[in-house]
Amino acid sequence: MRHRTAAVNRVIVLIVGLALLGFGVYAVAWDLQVPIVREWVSRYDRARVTALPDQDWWGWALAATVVVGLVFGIVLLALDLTRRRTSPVAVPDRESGTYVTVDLGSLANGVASELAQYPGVRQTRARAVIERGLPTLSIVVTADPTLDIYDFTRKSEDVASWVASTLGGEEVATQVLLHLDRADHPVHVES
Amino acid sequence: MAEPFTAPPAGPHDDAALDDTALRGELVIKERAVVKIAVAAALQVPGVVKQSGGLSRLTGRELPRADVSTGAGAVAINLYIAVQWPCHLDLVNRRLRAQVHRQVEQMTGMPVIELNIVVVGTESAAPEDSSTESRYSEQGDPAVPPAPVAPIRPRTPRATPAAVPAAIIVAVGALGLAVVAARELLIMRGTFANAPWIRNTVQWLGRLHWSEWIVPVAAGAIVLGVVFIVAALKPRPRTHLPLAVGETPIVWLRPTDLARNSSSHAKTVPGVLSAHTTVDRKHVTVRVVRTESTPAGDVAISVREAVEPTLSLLGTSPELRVQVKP
Repeated sequence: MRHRTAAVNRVIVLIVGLALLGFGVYAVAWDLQVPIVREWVSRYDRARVTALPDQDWWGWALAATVVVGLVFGIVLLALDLTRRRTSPVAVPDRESGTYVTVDLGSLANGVASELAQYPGVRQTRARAVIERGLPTLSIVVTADPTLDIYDFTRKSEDVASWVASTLGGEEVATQVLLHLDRADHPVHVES
Repeated sequence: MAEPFTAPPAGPHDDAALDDTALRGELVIKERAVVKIAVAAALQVPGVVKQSGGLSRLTGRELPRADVSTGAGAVAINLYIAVQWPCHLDLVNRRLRAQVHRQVEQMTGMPVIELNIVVVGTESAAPEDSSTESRYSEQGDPAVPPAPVAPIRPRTPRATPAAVPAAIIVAVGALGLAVVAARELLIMRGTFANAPWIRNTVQWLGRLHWSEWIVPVAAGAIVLGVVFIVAALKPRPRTHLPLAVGETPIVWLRPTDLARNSSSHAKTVPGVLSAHTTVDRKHVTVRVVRTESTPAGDVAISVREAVEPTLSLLGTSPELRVQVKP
């Protein structure tokens, strides 16, 4: 998730939380007959509130609510429920002065398929994501709990080094999330 | 596809006619022909592989494929390829450009003024091909071994922010409000007759006096408000621990997976009947049940030797505790 999306979420939730808290505290203070709240309640113009739907602008207010509610809701859902795809990366060839464009998702698939061949690895899932501003090849590896983690880590670091080398210094990270099967229910992998 | 020549049949007595350009006819090279030439040229380059599945064949998304535009006696090509992984992208790029330029220009006589190469697929080499090292080296230029490059450090994996579910609830609420407001507008316009919920609610608020039900509702609002505020301010917890042989951690492990690995290694120790591991921030505790014939001290040392290599990869160096029970 991007920094900006996370910040937008936090601000919106904070505002709604403060509004709910304010409403609750106001109502409790009303019940407890706190003087200042009693004064506010006494100033409550019931006739004016009741007459609001009869105002000329009521229809426009409803229309604005429709538009703002739809835009706000759809944009917020899109921000939270859609995964931001990475942009293709242009890899330079310094010798010829040309570029080759690489889809990072396909590169992630290549890395995943390579790690899938490691003994003890049962399943791999690959995706290219922007993780807090950094394009990242994220590989989730599910493996047998008896996996030689030292050797697997070394192998993964070699692969990541190769990715960094072949991308010619582009700011793309490689991340391997290693998940192991339960020790008492190992899934034996043919290797 | 190249159009057939429309020139008249040549014969020994037609040489003079062939010299007359007006009678030679015209050679039309369609873009499809250039596409086929480019694709065939791409497949001749080591490292470029053909990818065609059932679905991609149906949708015409086989690789390699090319978009070609011709005009003014020149060709521009967008070439989409799949490469065998691992590969030197710069080397593939160089070889591919040379091959496509040469083949297209030789076969069509038109220069390639623009060639954009896009890698959209990869295919891993078969595991039995060779070892990792040789697979890497055979892809590259033997004269120029790949320089070791320090990988970029990935971000620390963290849980989804707690604000996200709350924000989704707010978004759904906003959409619900929009739908209710739209319904109200249609009722106002007389599109259909029904109870105007918002109008009725506002008028009800105008008549509202203190009622007993307000207290539990207020308490609920306070609780929900506090939950939302906490969700908004709560930092994202780390979900994985970094493992590193070199400088940059690439592999990340959940604490539960570290426990599983420790238990599975502890179980391989002779004399251990069962093992259970718990992991917290500072400690890894392995509890093993031994056979009666095996001394507890020997089991503890062996378990420690079996588990420590993995723990040494952690940057945090948690304390290893081994508890042996008969």
